[in-house]
Amino acid sequence: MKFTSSVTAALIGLYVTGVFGQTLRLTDTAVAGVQRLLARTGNLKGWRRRGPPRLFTGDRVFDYMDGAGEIPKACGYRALGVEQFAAPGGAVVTAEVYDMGTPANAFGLVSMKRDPKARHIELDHRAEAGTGELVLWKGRFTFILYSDKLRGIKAEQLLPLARSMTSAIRERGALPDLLQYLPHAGYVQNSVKYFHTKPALDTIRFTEDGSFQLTPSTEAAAASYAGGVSLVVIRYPTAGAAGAALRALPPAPRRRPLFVVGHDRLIGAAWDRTDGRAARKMLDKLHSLLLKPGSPWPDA
Amino acid sequence: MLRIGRREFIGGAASLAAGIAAAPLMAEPRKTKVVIVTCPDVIDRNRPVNTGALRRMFEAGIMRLSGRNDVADAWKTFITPADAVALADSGTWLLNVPEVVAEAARGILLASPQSVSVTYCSLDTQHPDWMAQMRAGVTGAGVPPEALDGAVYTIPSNFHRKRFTALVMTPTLKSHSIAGVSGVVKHFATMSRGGPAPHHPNAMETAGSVIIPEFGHMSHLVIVDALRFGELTRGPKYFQKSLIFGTDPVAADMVALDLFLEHNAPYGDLPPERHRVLADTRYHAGISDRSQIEVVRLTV
Repeated sequence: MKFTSSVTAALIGLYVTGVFGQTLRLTDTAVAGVQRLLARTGNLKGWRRRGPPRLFTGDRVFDYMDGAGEIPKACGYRALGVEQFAAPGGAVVTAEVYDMGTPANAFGLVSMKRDPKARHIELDHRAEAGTGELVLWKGRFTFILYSDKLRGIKAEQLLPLARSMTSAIRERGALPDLLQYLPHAGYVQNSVKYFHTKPALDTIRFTEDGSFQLTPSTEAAAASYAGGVSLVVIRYPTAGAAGAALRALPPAPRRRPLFVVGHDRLIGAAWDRTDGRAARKMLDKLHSLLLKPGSPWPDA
Repeated sequence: MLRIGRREFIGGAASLAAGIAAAPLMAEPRKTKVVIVTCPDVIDRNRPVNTGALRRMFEAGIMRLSGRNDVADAWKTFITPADAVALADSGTWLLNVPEVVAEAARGILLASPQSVSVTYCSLDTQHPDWMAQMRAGVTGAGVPPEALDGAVYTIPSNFHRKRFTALVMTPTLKSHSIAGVSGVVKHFATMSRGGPAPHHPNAMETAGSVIIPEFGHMSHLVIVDALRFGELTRGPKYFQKSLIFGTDPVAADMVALDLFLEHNAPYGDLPPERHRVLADTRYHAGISDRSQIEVVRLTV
């Protein structure tokens, strides 16, 4: 298998630091997975490859996308493959293919990238179809396809490229089961986000400290609701970790109060844009769902 | 050798800009000047840049910032014949209008420095059409092709290995999923020897920490390319049609942020002012207090 220098360096790094076995095999598999999907584009009529794919793992993602790499990392990404194409008509299209390890994480990256107000279309799952951009997921893979800014094309024109890759994925993948703890009533469509660590939470509710003690092994789902209410539910590896996070929460600022409940491995929190009354009302619903989760979400 | 802190450095630069002998140890901090030049005819969503209008904007801005009535004299206020100048572009989240880089290069050459290097971001090469336009513009302005150097502004960067004495930068502003709104201060972190990643936590609160240690020995001329403001990596969102000139990176960034927020929102809940203010209050790299910034607005 041929690797770019970035990936070679990353793999050598794993050996040097003594991380053998499972981690290396997972990284290897992830890289091979995105390579295999990108290779599927080779026979696409009218599309021309502009060069070999570039492959990234770990912090090498910053070589490609600088600060934007924090969000895939916060969602659990394992490998990224990037390739450029000349679309029919000449526009340059970039395809980013992420192996996110699990379908839940693949949805998570889409959820962090999409704009709830943008146009969405139904593919294997709901996908964002922005101006010259298509953001979708299937199985454990996330796809971000976009055209260059100078000669942009419509999102629909990116569908053949997307389908050439997604058709090779057998597993459709399900939404994270954590979403079942969030209420359906009042939900702002396409607003739910799923992630693991603080950089993602900061985009939803910024805290200067390590509030909620998020780590790669915590799961979090946050969504917007009518009345400017936001809810987040976090699942910890153990009830002890959840309890410790709950006890460590600093007092919320008076300007923007935070209401929190906990149960077993779960913490739920609510806030709103004003005095907190609407948030407090939603917290009761959230608490009920922590005790007894609702039905699975059809799509989000 | 007299070591001076950043306050004094800025004060000295401001005095120099006003044609007054530098007085590093002033009792009262002098206001720093930031000039906003706006031209309704310079560009629009479906209209390419008007190079004549752009040149008028540059000339008006640099003359007002320097207090000189001659364009070449104005540039010589900031660039001396002994200077080795680095011209750094905005990088890829929102690429500069290529003509802005070219016009900045042209201005630098008017001051006849010892050398000039166009230290474009190495990631720019992912955008070959833009690279071709920028290269044509810069060489057309008189910069020799060999002075275009993509090996300095890498990530992490190599500025610390070079002997530049003056830094001219043309950053852009866009909503940013780590910093809230990226701009001048964040740009320094991106251009730092460790790269931006160590500065990502907590909405890039340490971004300003690199300005004095890594770039404090150079004179600074900041020309914010605010012809358009961007949304994440999605390209231009709002056509502001302005350029912002300053020698204090923090002050220029505060003014640029205020302008951005007039018609654009930061990303999510991230507080865009925070890392800018900390660049002043924690790292003493410039002035964030609006009462100490003289904002001059010009329309051409």
